[in-house]
Amino acid sequence: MLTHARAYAVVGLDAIPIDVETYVSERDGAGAFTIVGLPDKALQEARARIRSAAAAAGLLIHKAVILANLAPAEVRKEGAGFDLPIALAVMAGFGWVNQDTLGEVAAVGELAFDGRLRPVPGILSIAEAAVRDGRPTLLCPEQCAHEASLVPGCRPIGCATLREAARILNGEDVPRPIVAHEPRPSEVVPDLIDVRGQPSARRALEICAAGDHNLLMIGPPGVGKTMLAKRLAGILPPLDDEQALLATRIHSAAGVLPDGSGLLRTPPFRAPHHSATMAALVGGGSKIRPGEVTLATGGVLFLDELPEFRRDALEALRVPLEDGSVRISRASGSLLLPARFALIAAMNPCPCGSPEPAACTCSRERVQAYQRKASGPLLDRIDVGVHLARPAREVLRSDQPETTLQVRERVLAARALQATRGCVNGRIPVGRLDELAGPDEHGQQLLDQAATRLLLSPRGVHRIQRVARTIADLAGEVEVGVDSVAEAISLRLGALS
Amino acid sequence: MTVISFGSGDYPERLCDLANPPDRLFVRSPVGADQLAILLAPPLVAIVGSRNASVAGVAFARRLAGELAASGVGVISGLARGIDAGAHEGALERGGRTVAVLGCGIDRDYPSATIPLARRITTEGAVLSEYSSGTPPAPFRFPERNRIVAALADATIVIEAAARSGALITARLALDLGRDVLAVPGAPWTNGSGGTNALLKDGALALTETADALIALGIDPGAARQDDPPITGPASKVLAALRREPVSADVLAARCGLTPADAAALIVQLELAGIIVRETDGRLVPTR
Repeated sequence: MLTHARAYAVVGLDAIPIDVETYVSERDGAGAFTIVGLPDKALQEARARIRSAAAAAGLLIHKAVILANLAPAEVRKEGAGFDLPIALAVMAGFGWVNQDTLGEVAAVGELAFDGRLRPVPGILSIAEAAVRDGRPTLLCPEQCAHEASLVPGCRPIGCATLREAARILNGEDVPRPIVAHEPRPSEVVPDLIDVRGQPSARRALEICAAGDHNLLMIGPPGVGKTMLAKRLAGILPPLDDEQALLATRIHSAAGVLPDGSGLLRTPPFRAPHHSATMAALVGGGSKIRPGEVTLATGGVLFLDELPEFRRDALEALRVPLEDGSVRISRASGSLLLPARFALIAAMNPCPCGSPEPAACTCSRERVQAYQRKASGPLLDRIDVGVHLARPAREVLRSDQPETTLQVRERVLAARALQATRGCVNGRIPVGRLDELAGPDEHGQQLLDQAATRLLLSPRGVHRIQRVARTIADLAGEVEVGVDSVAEAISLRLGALS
Repeated sequence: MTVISFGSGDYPERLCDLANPPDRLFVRSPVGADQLAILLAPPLVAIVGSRNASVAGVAFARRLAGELAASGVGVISGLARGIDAGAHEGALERGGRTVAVLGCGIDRDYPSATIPLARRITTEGAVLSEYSSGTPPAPFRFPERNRIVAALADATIVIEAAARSGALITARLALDLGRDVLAVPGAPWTNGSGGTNALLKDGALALTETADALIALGIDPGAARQDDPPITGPASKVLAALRREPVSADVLAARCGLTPADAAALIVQLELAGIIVRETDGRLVPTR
């Protein structure tokens, strides 16, 4: 007898409907279970899990001949999320599950040998696809139900076991209520007030948050570069509904969404280690997975020890930095993934990383080679650079750090001004720069002077203009005055030297 | 490439002052051998110093060379990074004469840090060497090269040299040849002051401004002197603080009671005017 269930295959950030078609013959008795339709290794092994889980539910199928077909056949199917729909279709074949109700719902979940359901990644993408597919009811592991419920229109049914899923489909059980988990405390972003004695670095961070500019911090180990970077997410505006859903979907598809975390409202903070490969950074692999640039969408990508990153990985960052998206092409197809993030890079002034400049043992050539490695591919994309030194005592004494809340208020006000112009400063297109961010007369004079004296490229001048616009916005000024331009030039110089 | 042999009419006369003048000179320049005399004509000064000079030291060399070039003084040096490169660049910026003397064959791209500068000098000045093409750089060739630098110049100016700097060899050779030696004094606790201060103790002339060099060359500085526009307002306060001690922007802001934003704006204006420079460790140093 032929039975059907509906599953979904996650491709990048989306999911596509897969028809699970099974043929079950009790009589043959040879005990064969075949899955066709481009299953991967994990999916092939579903046979063992399904047999065992079905047995735990009371149905012995090890002597039956079972064929399962996953259509469309040319789509590669991966992972254990197909366990539940295949198992339900098989059970329908034995008459244990009502085929009519099964035909109307979507299902996803991995089975344990004892029949329990285990959570799988990409629930949000699957729930969205199911709603689009006209199947708002989604049978899923109970741990995933809350995540699926974030999708408007989706009615997830969380089940603890295969048996429970079958009983709900047969109308013998009622779905249990969905439990939202407490947000995890680790999501709390640390406060900016902790960073003492680095006033100009804090200022640079505020400017970057206000205008969506990229930042390079240069300083010896232990002066607060990482501390500052971690606090950027706190002063960025929280994600709106659309951004939050996108960020959550990305994290879900990559399988890094913490259990029951709900919608991600805090801008993500991604800090890949410098040994990261290009595929890890921009996405890819034989199965196309979102990379760090995509995971950082709407938030911060922090590259500590910038010159230690592989050069090809840094080169690959240029396109996402410019376009806000990344196209990954593999033999299996090509995908356009979002990648709009604020880049924060940090590096030591020299490769030996000595805490005091006087204790540095590096030759000048080595220092230059080290700095060139970082600056070559990326310097043109960095708007703001700042040098951090060990805070001097007099700076510590006079420094009055503000809280994240105080700084965020100014950032939000500056962002509101930008919203009235319809464009975040960091992404003002060149054609509209003079209209939206043209400095006043004195500012223009200073900018021209700087361009000549510092041999700035046109792109460099544009970056200064954008940052100057943000500085004026933070001060609530309509005109971009000479002081804003001067500070923007100073921040540009910090990245160049 | 041109070759000038000892005894030829184009051979620079001043090299004959040396006990061991080079047999041949290999020259790369847009001008012919007969015109080389114009590039090397007096007044001509050598500006030499540390390769690992401070940013402020290089800025000083560049400004000095530029102002000398504007007064018609040619600048000769060794094309090393640091002070040498600053001096060549300063002279080129003001359209002046500049000549680089190498310690290797003139076809070698050495030192690599100054390759773009070397290209400019070969098209706008002259690069010369006593070594034939392909000769690799070697430690013993640099002192040999220095004797040519010292001999060709009317005076040798040393900016930032540690106690055992190669620039001191040039200065000693210049003294042996009876040429003037000028040195820029440095605070004894700074890196590049040991050698220059030792020269001063031995009787070198102190150089703190361009006029000192012009006087040594017998040129009336009054004709060339141009006063810098005075710094006024909050910028003067910032500059005064940096003259007391070069510090980072954060410390400067704390000392002057400025916000980071205001301090940054003032610093940039002084920086663009060439009055202060940023050292690689982030300290801000006045150049005059």
